[in-house]
Amino acid sequence: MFESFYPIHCSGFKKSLHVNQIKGIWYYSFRTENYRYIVEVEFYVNDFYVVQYYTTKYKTHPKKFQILTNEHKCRKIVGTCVQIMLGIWKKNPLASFGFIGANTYDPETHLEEPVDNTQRWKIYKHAMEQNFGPETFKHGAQSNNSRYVMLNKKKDVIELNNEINQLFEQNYDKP
Amino acid sequence: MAKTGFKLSAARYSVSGGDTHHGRVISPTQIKVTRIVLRRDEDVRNSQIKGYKYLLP
Repeated sequence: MFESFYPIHCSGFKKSLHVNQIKGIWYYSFRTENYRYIVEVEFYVNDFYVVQYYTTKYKTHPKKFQILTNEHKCRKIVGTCVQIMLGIWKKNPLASFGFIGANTYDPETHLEEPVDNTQRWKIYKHAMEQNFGPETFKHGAQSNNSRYVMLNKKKDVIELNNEINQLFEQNYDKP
Repeated sequence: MAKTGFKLSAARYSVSGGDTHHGRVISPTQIKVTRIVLRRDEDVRNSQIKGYKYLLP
């Protein structure tokens, strides 16, 4: 279902100034038929990675993660992100992953989807369930903020979950 | 035990705490989860489409 993907290019790593919390951001890019996309993989302490992407068309838009392109290439785009995650896990077998399914924003009508149980969250959750099994990762979800995590079972998942809950609250909470 | 034969659940939602609105008992679907809840491995496994292969087990 999410097997197909676009060729991926790794654009580099930007080191963070706050290394005690976030170590840096890996940048990847890929090109669909109509747009170029940037994938940002935030690398936190405890080998925790947060994956997010946007199209360069809305690079400077404050809601760049929330805008739909209506390109109808969702499966292949999500499949590309899955391949990036797989590549990271191959480089770092202790890696854990997380994401937030951003609520859709329409720049024309200025309408915004509620933050709970978003359509993106449902799709990404489905993609994770199909590709990453429970032997390697402990899956965790929070529908009412559209958060999802996959915690590496080589680590103490309960402790890691507590730390990640704090991290999400500090960095990603919406008012 | 009710006349219909259904065993009444022992679980009761509080009507005096913060999980109520004007004294009404709220349904479990309306309860806000404030943390990421770890899922059971079995549930994750059962969510996978039959015949599909994991990239990582």
